[in-house]
Amino acid sequence: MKKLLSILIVLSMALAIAACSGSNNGNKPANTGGNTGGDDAAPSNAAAEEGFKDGKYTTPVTLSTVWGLNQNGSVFKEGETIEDNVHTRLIKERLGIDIKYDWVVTNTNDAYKTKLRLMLSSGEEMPDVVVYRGDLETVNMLIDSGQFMPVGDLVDQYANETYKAGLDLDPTIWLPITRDGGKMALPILDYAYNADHVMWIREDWLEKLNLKAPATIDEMETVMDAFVKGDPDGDGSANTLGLATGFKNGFSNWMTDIGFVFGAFGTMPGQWNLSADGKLEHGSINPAAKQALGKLKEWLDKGYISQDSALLDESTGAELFTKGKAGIVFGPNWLPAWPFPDLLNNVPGAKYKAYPVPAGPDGKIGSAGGNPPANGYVFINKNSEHPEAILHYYNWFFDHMANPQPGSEFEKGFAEGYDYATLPDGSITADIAKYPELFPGLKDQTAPPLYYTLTYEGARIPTLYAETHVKLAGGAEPATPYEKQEFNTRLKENTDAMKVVMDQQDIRMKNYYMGPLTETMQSKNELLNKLLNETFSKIIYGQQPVDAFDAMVGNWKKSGGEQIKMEVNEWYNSVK
Amino acid sequence: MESAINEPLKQSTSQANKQLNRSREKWSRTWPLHLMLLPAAIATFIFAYVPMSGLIMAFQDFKPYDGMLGSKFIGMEHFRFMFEYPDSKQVIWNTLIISGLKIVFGLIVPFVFAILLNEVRKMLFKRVVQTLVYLPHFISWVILGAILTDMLGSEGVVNQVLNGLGIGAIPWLMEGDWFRFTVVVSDIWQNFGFNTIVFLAALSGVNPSLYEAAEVDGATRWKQTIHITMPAMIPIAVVVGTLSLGNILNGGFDQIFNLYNSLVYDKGDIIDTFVYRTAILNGQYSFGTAVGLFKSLIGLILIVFSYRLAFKYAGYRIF
Amino acid sequence: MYHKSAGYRTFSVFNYLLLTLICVSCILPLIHILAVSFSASSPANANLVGLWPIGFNWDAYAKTLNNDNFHNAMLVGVERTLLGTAVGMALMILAGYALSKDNGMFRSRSVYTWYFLFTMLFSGGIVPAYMLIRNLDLMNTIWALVLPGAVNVFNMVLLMNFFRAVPKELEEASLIDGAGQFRTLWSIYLPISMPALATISLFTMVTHWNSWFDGLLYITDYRKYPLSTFLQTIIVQQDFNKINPDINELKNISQRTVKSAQIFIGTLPILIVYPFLQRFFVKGIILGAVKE
Repeated sequence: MKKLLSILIVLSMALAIAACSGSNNGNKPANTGGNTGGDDAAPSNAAAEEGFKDGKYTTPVTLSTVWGLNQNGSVFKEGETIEDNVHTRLIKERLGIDIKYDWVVTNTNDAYKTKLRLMLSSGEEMPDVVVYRGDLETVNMLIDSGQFMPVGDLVDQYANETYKAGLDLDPTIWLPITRDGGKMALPILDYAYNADHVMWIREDWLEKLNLKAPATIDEMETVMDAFVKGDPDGDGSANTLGLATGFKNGFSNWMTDIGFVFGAFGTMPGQWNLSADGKLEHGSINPAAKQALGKLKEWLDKGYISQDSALLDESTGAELFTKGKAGIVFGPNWLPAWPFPDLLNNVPGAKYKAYPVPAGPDGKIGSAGGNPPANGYVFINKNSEHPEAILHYYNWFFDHMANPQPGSEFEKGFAEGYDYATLPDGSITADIAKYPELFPGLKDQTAPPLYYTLTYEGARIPTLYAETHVKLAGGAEPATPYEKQEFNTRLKENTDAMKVVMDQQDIRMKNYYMGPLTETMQSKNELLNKLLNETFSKIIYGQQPVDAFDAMVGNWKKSGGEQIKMEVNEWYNSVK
Repeated sequence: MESAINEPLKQSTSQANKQLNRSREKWSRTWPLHLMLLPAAIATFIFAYVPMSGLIMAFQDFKPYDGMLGSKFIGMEHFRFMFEYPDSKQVIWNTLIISGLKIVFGLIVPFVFAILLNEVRKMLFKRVVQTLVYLPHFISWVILGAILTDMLGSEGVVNQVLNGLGIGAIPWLMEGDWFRFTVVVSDIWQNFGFNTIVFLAALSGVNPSLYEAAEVDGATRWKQTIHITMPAMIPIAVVVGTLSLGNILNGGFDQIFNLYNSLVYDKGDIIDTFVYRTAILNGQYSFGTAVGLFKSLIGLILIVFSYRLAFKYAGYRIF
Repeated sequence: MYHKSAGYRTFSVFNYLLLTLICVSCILPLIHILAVSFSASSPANANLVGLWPIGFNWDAYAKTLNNDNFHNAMLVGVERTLLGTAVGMALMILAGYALSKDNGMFRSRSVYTWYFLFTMLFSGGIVPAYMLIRNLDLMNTIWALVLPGAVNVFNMVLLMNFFRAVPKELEEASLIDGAGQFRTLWSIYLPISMPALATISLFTMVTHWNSWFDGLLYITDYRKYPLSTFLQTIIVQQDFNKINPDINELKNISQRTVKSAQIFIGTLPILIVYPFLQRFFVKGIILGAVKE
């Protein structure tokens, strides 16, 4: 054993030295000018077109990629894998596209991101397409690698009308990935307005204390005061809170949001807002933020919000609501699907309802949202033989899966025995616990082939979700398969909340800066963010006076903030 | 003063010794030792020294797509950035305090604990204790952080007890000095059981007849502890202590990252959390590498320093 | 006798009490985690569980143990740990023994020592390490998990220190008897150093058993993950900042119970090993006594 081992080690050392020197020579990036190409670089389309007839490649083409298995798409039927399953076989049969996975990693603790970055750093050859959903820094690294091509011409030439219409909803969808006029990746569309907030209130508490839902911040304070002092949970002790908060990660949050307090005074922290003079300004240094901080400090002192808010993030902050301790929480329309079921389980008889975001003293209402409906990007290798293949693929899902019409092939779902099964009476079910025999090779969970797709969920039409729910909220009968599915799986509270969101569309404050990190941002962002977060928290907690805000603004400006503001506006003028 | 006078003398004798040693080392006697070291030396070369080429990034503006050979060299730029950064003094200072306290108490607590455990005569009790205190080592800080946040929050168990006793709630995680205290104590708590094991191993090498002989001589148990138990553990304590000096600028990323918040940035932010926010998140590997190199250099200096100190004044080679 | 003296008795009572208290402090958080792992997901997610489960059930364990890849991951985990410990211990014992010799006898030892120590401090980071594994063609093999950490300098130095504590007379006697260095190591040093070997083996095993990130990086086939990596991947992080979660996705989020269950699934094997290794501490004493 020992002998064998040392031989092995000696051998591998020799290999290491040989291989390292070899690869270092070989890995010199061959291409440097990828991001200067502009939109005129779509190569060899003529040859590619020839192979694609009647929606299919006559000679099957290979599309290589890499993959991070996500939670939804990690349930497989016995014997199937991400490399070989009902999805890959269907795509090969219908489209003549053979998907090949160079590597697959289970995406946990940023493993997919880490591996992508390592791949870039070690000069590995990129596959035909790389799909990424996550932080913009990695998106920028992928773009800057110069290994991917501009997609503008491809979209013009190959994208179908549904995809084009989705992209056209908000042309700023291209801004984060535009370099020198070139559109460097395909945005993956997702449902719009889904991240916009409403005010969720414990309806049973309102009823018990005989209160009406607040429409302004002042009224909200009355309600919170009653929630704190009126023992709404009826346990005889004053242990309740007005609002569930958790601002460990910032002051404009995806759930347990307090951005609305800032919005009520006319600003939104942590993003670039359009000011009256037509310039972009950072929302955290707007004087309105000082008023909002004063308000939050008051709420903390009065016990309306938790003393631990600075320690809690969105999830732990929302626990205050789901364990029945807090009466109000701000968040998206879909909270009834999660985490509110926990509330109903923990507090029998609890009721909740969505209300519009309340107005500030001058009638101002503001809530973060309204950003373009992109959720992830597809990068196309500039040496790919069939760069258009991924568009044919995406088109196919828009045509067949995004919103199938009654009677069409995929109206029931992706594949029988995977995500649905047909009962003897002809109705469909996805209840695997009740009919395990209809889902052979699966246990506990159905397999959702739509989530195996290279575009994460097949294809989503941005407006579909909101339109469907507004329609359902109005009392219309569900007609299409998608409407039926939403009707059957979503709670009424969810549907009503979406209506509230759509009725308040004009209060959304979007982040106007969508470019890559500017030069000064790269070196100063951390310092500035730390300054803002620290001062904000300390003001709310009374560890610093409210007037510390003014000193902070001065400090922010001279520590690079002013410079960043200039760069941001330069960018804004260039894309306006 | 005395030692200063003696110093030249000592040095000259040790030099003489060295020369004597040199003549004494013979290949015929030592080749098996070289052979024994060979496998580890080769493995270390391949898996530690070859990748060390990555340190070159510290002097580059590393861009992933340019690779390690193609990236632009910018000399000491990252180091300049680090030292000119307005916060860096505070961050280094925080790290030194938190890490220093962890090293000192992280050594003392297991040492004392091993002594206490050595006095336990009931074997079963001893084993159970040993096993239980070793458990916290296996809980990750993601989980432990959540539990601590919960326990130490304004309405957590700890503050409820303090309130009950009339002491009043303590902002364990929301005020800088208390935060440092909490971080150090919870780190010691998590690891002392695990770190005790090595001392127990040292103690089990002690010959029981030593204690018997001491008892016959009428030594009290306390004297036995000082003269038998402690000397058996001190060499190991010195090694562990010296090696941990190499970590002086690692404050414990996982722990701080899971516990800190914007209220305690001024006293709780350490080098690694700072680098995480500035560089790792943005994929700026070279800045991270430069800071890492700086940390390693300081660690190396401290280790070399204590090694020489021990050799010079105690004639003891730590390694 | 000392343990009859009143002072020592008081101390003993105090000592037992203190140790018991410390144990309680160590075990309470674990009981909490255990309680969460056996609770229904709603109270667990809302952080309502204290030291006793609410809505007792096994679901969190079933979810992990019923996973198709669990058994395989367990096997890979055990294989990696055994192989890693065997290789690591072999390298470290040999090197540690050689380094334990006097400078007088083995002058080059200082060079070797610093050669190893240096690597404890300096590392080139993840990118070159990844390139190395790839270029050595070790990707997706168990050796990518075993070899890079085989020589743990900290453990090796500890081992060296334990070897140093072995009485020199034993070694000299052995060498005079005509035994070589290998023989001396094998028949004198190893038997007498059982407590030390047990300790370092334990450290090495724990390290191998718990490491999961290297598995994610170097094992490209998720069906070949070792247990610790597998456990990490049962729960996939959710980043809500950008995602519009799907209703199916949302139903799967109740993760706190699963996370807690994993701590026990992952830790149990090491817990079982530990009391077994504790025996060697006692054995060492006996052997040491006989030899001297």
